[in-house]
Amino acid sequence: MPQTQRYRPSPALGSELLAILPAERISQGSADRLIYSRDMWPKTLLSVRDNKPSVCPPDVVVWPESAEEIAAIVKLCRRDHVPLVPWGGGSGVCGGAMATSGGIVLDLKRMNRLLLASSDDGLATFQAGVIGQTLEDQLNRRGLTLGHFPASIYCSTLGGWLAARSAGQLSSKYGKIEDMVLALEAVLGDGRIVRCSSAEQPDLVPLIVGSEGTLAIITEATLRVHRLAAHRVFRAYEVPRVSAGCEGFRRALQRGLRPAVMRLYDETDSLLARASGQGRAAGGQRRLLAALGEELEARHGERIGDLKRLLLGAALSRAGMLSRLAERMLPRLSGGCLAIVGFEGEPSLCQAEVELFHAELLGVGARDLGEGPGLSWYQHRYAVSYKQSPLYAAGGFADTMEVAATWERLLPLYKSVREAISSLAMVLAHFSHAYPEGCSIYFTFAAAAEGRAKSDLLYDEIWRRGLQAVIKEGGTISHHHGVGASKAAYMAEEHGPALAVYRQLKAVMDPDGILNPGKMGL
Amino acid sequence: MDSATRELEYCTYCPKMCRHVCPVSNAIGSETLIPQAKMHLMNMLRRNALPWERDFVAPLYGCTACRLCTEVCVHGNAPAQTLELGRSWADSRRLGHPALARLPERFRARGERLLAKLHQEFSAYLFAEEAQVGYFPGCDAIADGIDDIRAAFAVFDSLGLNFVRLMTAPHACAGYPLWVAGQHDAARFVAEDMVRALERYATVIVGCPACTHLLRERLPALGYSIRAEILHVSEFLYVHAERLDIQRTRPAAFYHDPCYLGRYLELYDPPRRLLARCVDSLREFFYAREEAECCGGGGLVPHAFPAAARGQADRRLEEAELYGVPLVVSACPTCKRTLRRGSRAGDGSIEVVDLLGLLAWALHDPDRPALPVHP
Amino acid sequence: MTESLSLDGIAARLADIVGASHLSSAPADVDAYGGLSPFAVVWPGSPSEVAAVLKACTDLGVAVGIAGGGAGVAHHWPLTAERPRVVLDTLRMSNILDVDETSLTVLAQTGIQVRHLEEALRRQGLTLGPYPAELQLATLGGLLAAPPAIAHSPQTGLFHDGCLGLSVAHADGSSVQTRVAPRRATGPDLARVYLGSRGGLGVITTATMRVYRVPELVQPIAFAFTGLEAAHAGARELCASGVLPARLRVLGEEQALSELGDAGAPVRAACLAVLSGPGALVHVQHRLLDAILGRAGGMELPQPVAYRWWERSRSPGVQPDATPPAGARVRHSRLGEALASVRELTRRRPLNLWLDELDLHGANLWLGSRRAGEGKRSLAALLLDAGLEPFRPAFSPLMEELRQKLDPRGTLVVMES
Repeated sequence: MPQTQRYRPSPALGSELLAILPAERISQGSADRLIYSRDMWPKTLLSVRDNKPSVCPPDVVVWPESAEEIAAIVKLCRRDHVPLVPWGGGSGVCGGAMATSGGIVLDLKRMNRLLLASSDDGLATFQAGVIGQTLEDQLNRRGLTLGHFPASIYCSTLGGWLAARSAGQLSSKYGKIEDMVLALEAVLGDGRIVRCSSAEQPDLVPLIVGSEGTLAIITEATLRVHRLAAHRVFRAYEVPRVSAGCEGFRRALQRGLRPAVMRLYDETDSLLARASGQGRAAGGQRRLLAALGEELEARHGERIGDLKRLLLGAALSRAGMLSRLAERMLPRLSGGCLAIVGFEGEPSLCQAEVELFHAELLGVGARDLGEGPGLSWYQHRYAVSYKQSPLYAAGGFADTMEVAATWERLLPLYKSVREAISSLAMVLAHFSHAYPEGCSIYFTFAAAAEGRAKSDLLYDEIWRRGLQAVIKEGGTISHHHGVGASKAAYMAEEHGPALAVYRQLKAVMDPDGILNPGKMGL
Repeated sequence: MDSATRELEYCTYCPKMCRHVCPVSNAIGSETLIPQAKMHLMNMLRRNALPWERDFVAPLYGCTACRLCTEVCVHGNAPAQTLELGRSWADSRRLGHPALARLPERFRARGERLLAKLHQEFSAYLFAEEAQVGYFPGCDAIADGIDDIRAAFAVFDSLGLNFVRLMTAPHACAGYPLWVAGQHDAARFVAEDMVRALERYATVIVGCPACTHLLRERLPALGYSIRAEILHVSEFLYVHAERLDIQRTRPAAFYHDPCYLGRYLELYDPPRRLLARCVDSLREFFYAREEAECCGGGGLVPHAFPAAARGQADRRLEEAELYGVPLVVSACPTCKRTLRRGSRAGDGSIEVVDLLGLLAWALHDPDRPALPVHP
Repeated sequence: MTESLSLDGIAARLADIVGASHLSSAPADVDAYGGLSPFAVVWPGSPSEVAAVLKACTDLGVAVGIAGGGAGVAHHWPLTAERPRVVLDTLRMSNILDVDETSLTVLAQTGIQVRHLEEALRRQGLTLGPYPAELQLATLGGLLAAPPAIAHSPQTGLFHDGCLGLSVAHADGSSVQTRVAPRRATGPDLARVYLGSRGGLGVITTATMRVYRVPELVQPIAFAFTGLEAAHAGARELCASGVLPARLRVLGEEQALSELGDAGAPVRAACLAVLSGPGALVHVQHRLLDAILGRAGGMELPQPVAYRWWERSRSPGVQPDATPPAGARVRHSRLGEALASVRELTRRRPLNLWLDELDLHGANLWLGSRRAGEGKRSLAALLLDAGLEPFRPAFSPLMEELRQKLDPRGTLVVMES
């Protein structure tokens, strides 16, 4: 785990915080420090597997209730250079919320109120600590929706979405979170509380959004909201190849169609979807785990757990070989790629768009599968299976790499990444966030190694090869998971000299470098 | 792998897919009290990856056993049940939550006090030995809702159901708190007493949803033989709902589903049918029925994490306030008591009443003075 | 360390970079920049020349104002800076470097005029988008560095939101380029540092813009209303319905007279929309629009009226207002109130009133006058009196701090819009 130089807490820190917050909103307890010591970075699960659950424990956890309280905490931290890590749902998968240098974790979940919702003006203001589903529920009861449905909607917060530029399953219609935010309130690293919107230029909103707590702590956001959709239509297709599916998606988007859902599964992912018979539910990780874990569990039963682990381990340690084998066999096995598309909104508009889309996909050789697979996907879109324990017990691990590129670069990027990592891991992919100018690719990989040291090396090597392939092909290393600690080393290549501008922003907004230090390659 | 171990392992690697519904963590924003974290801590204790220390054990007590997390879990994991096992492990290591210290003794003393109060409040005939149908109000009703017990009998009487008598029970409570505290030895002791006392009855009507669940489902599942039919009072009454000589007394009320009545016993409609008889408009919370949020009163959370319990009550009442409905009705003495601790109830802006009390108030009585109008 | 050189010395140093023929101190050239009164103008031909000019100016203590093609842009010279000034005009940087017809993006140097870029794109069946014709004379760099309020379409959003990447030269001569991706989650959107920075943080030298295919069908539609409020209600409903017109405009009586004078009967208020896209979609949208505007009390005007309006509005300069209009952003829920106060204040003055740049949240309320002598300032004052905030291009205080880091010597001058 990345451990930057650890801050040594002053013994007086606790009592000084007491001047700002009541005792019940400050904790130095060992259970809290343990639970706040990691987020959902899969690499930290290797520590958990090895019975080392405390990864990067903070010294203190605090629960502020207002921007003013946060400003006071920031000022206190400035004096002693105490690292401050903002925390939402802790659902990030890049280590972005980990207190890698110790210090204070600032949990914003007590700031979870809806402050304003206006149907007339199509906007709503929430405090940043609200959990995604709670936010959506609050809007729904007013006949509104944000249109943001990340798979993590149950476990992530608005602040986290904004900090890491989250994307939801309906991004093709409603955009990513950065397309939905109109204004922010945030506390800077020098303790100033700022409110920003496009009324000022340059607009600070797109600069604070995505900064993962390194420039400011987001406390409040005003968001674009829509009326709840009256109507929803799904269609599914089988396309002969990934390239044909991408071509169909691109043509449709560039004609001005805006499906709410667009998902294209590559040959391997589509094959597993059919094999596991689980319907075309959530993403690749589920499928992979389903295929590898549950299959073995079912076949060998509960009682021979060790054999099962052995088999799973063996299967995974030959993941690369399996992957290459699968590649060769795919043309014979594959029924092509599954594509799901969904429209929502005014019924006659939906119908017109569906028909136009249909024509585009038939034009690239697609076969109509009707609405079934799409409906099934929609019903199970959050029903993610987390039987990961057999995988980890067998020495395996799984992770996801979500990257993006313009259409022209997309397929070469897809091929390069597969080639780069398929000798090390089992890899599958789907394309689920498409725009007129490009698309993201969501790779899922799984691999195994013996022992922690080898696992870490293998894990890092897969990421290194994968991300370098992405950079070489002119893509971006993250589409919506963010950078955090796990991709920090690649930021220089991602941005080139422009990274210096980010550093200058940091110098302006967080002059002492106390906000989420050690992240984002700053 | 036993089922508890499997659940613990699944939860340990899960990215918190049920955390949004956990009322305890939502009330105070604590990551440590989300179901996944509590299960993870318990699993690490089980694996001996953490020392058995009070600080690591305490979060296992932060569960109202509301079962909302189970409702949303793809695997149907039941942290309420598994954490209870964890508390029993903690208790066997003398690491129980300090707020629950000497719980069996306190349980017994409180029970004796409440039984005495019950006897004092109700004339002896109610405990008629020959009755076939007994009424077991539950401890919180005796402690805080004596009038609701009277109300129950007023409603029985108005329907001609005067064969119901207060049950002659050895305890004021069937032992639910002991079970959730993981004090299983003491809980079994109470259960055996209760099973013996139940032998004389054909039917026992229970006022407390938790004890209804305990006597009807949990104890039989543990092998206790209970032949008496166990009914929640709303279940007993709702078949007579249309016969009630009643007038609508209030314009509108929100109905709060008690967790044990709802998700455990799946009794969603009986209390609603009764309530619909005495208000013009039965209002539903946004989170209702299977999705209903807990009031905060379950699982002894008001003892171990009082701020979380209060916070849950606040969340529930805020919605009633938002829609300008100053009345919340539940069918559980514990819910009533917990919700009344919420600040909206404390300052008088929201009134919280038991269904029985409201029913009795609505009974047609030609001599009754004009209905009070709520401010 | 600032070197001290005479003006001639400075000119010589800059001529070394751009070539003597691309620098001029001749009054005829210099005077074109009006209030700027620079002693020289330089026309660099490439991003690297821009960077070198900036570095030299910083070294020599020369202040630099940015202009595009001699367009009259007012500059705000720091009062304390009694130092030589030059104008860096991007006129020569007008090359289109790449058109990616697969991804629908164009990479161009920012000195290019929008009309030239648009003409070149049209030859390939592409367009920058359905933006108002008034933008045609601006340069790409001007629209990005100082985005005007009118650079908006309900269908494609703000013009500068279509900027997917750019390269910039800083005052110290360093250059950065932001990499192009459809979306990313790798920190702040660094291109946004410079959008709207009005030349104060760096000079945008190239930009990658999103482009669109020329629409298969374009359908202008005009509806008459009995009042501005009803027309606004219809337009607002349209924005919320998911029908996103390429253009959408709501006119008050005076403005309707001016834009729809040929409608036959006088029109009290109007809602003008242009739908564009695949024919099948436009037809469905048209039906929805008819229903929505009809419900709001609108009556569709004959098609030729709408087409003639659309044709006129596509050629810039045909509606010369005597004074440039003043506008303010107003949320939908406050618009009725805003219209009432503006009307109250303008009861005796026949001012033109219209709404444009409508989206889900609100609209720009514009006030114009066809009478000479009605200054823009007085229109803006009127808006202020009505409790509205006229567009004020406030430079974010935090960006001012960033400016001090990127340009500590204050070489670059912030343009006023």
